[in-house]
Amino acid sequence: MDKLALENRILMSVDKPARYIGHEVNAVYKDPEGRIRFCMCFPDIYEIGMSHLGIQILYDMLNSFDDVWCERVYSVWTDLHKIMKDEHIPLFALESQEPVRSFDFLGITLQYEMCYTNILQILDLSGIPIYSRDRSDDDPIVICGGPCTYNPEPVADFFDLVYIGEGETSYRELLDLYKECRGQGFDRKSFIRKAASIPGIYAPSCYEPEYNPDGTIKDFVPLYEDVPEKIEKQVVSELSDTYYPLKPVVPYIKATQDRVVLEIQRGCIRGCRFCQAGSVYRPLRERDEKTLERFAREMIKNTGYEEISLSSLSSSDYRELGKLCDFLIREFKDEHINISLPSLRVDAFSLDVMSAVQDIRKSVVTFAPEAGSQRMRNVINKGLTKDDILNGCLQAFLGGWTRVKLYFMLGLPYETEEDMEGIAELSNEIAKLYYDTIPKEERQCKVSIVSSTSFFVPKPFTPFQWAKMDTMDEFRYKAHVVNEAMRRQLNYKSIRYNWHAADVSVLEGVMARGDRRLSSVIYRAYENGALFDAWTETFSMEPWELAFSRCGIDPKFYYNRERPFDEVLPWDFIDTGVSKDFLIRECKNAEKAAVTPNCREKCSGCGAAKYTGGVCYES
Amino acid sequence: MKVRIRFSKKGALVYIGHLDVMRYFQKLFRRASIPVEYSAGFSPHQLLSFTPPLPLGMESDGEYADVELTGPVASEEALRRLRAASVPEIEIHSFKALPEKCENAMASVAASEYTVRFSASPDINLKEAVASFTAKKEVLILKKTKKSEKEIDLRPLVYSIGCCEECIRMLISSGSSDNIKPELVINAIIAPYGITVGRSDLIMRREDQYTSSDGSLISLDDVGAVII
Repeated sequence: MDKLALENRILMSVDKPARYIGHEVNAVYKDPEGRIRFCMCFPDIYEIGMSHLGIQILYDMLNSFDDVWCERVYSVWTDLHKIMKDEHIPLFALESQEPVRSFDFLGITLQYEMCYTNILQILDLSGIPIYSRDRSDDDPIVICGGPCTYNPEPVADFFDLVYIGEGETSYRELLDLYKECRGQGFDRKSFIRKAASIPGIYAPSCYEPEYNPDGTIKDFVPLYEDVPEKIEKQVVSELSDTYYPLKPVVPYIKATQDRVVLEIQRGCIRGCRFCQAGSVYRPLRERDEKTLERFAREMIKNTGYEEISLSSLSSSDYRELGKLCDFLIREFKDEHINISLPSLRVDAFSLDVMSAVQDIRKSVVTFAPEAGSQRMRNVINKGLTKDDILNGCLQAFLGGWTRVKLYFMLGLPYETEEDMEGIAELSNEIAKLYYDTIPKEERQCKVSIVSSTSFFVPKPFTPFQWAKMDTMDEFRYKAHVVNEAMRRQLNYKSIRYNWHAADVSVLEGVMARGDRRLSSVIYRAYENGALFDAWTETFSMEPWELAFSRCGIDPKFYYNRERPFDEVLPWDFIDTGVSKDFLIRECKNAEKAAVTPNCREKCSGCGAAKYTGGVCYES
Repeated sequence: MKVRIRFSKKGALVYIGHLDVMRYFQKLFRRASIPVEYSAGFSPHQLLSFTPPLPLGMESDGEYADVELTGPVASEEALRRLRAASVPEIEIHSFKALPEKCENAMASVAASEYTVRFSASPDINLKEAVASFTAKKEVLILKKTKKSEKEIDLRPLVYSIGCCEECIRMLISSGSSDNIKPELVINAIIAPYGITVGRSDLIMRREDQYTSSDGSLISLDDVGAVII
């Protein structure tokens, strides 16, 4: 029997024990002797965490270093959580099944704000002190990375280090420093302070915020002279020449993303004003098409997956998409491999590809107009016109599709009731288009339009980072306006309208633009039982409301307040390349509903060109 | 042509379920470049059939997968490729061609062989208990199904049973009719002593599965022939 951290009795009593056993195909096993032990964590359950490309990239990279053994850990589901707490079983890494606390590093990826209590679960079950300041030399260095680190302040006190930007660049230097410090009799504090000088590494304990009487930040300064004032986002300038997991770990149980993932590019040229990813991942960098062909072949061979999915923001902007799709179809046509193409603009080309690789009867055509009226789409700089949408739908209907999915946001800045009603009107127009173009005798079924709205959450490093977010009541009212408008439409029987829960969005809004004072709220919420807040079945607002009131913190200060341009924002110490001047300019353009051209049409001087690569230097 | 594969499932992998094993093999065949036949239609899938699900937590040395191929591969070559592409906890033992018109793995199982140990040995003489069970002509027990309970005679469904040290080895009826679970037999053996056990009190292992051929039981592994 292999060594397992959990006894048979426990594994037999929990849901999906395969989440906790490791031993998957392509999992990496090494002799721990003399190696740096790194435990990489995605703070959600195994099936979600295993679907994440970023972790697979870092796992592959760290294990390519001979002096490192990188393992994985994920959140344990509530059933096992209770058993581990009751029986004092320490959290363990999947590969070695050894306690996480015995590792040198614990790396946690922050993919969404609603995972913050799950971070505390990981630390708590591992027996690692929750606050960085309480840790000893025996505890691992706890580091985080990922999109939420573009404002790490709400969780800053829980981390020794924060890695800002793409993980491929600075880990080697950090590990070398660690080895050097370990050789000299390790002192945690001095290691952390030295690490603070490595590009992209932020050490929260080396900085201190000062507050104004009104609660806003007065100043945010380094405590030591040798610690930089600004942390520069790390970027891989040449994507074709970096780490990529050609032998990704293949789970036994069905993961959410159960396929080969081919990252075709990073960044986005579109400049949608609500989108954080489109800003912080600038500049757009494409991966060489020939390289991707090789990756696809090898990854299919090494995993045995039956599906391959292209991954990027706005995939249609990849200039060699046609060539790549031709290759994939040609290469894998006879091997029963499905090709999936998310985030594709719907046009003649993409429908052509879709009909070649998917069963039309089953597939759905998806649009993300994000806003119902053209004026509102100009406010958010979503370069998609009503004609684009209707043309795309027309082509899809003529090609045999009957199902359309539409994604919108409610609560965007400068939104009026007309804009909200526009969501219903656009949905109706698409349904009408179907009935107008497809003759009765050729209709196999009713057209199905599913329109969903989510609530807009302003995010750091976007032109809307100063905006006031709506309250729960306002959100509910807006969803009601849309719902009523839907009922008035002629084709409302062909349309289904869904809206997201407002309370989670509000909490996300607090965390997205919060500061260090929120760490005590998160800790209290966890103690009050908050866990898996990203899951509707486990989310409850109660522990959070209790935590806010106990800590004397008004959540509205963080989400329901417009900030002046000159306010010091909690994330101002991060330099993403995109300048504040550009964001202010874009914020003013939004107010005027003025459209800004995309990066390929015309450079708007956002500042990302300082990273010498990608779209800024395309000829 | 149709091929039968015998494999073991051991170690940590006793905690992955039947559907996950099926998914594992689908990927394994692709990694090992085994030319598997797909069904026709809009969502083609591999033509694959397994022996009845192994309960979660149980090891086995005698699991079988039948798979339709588009063309022949020599057993030795197939085994080499499958072993290279598999994890150590799923060990591939054989790769044999099935005769034409052979029942698939799932349908052909008539008996299974298990070894059973107690995680905590009961305070009884196990050898005696087994001997007295064997001596009986009839052992009436209540068998629970999803809908009802019915009384059956267990004795004729236990084809052979033996005891060594603290381990009981048994060959019992299984398959679509008269499917008997090993814990049912264990409980019948220890019932006279006033004890009952649950599945978690037993460490069980499926050794092999058998089909009936001309009135006798033969291992599912012996139905096929090595491909040269």
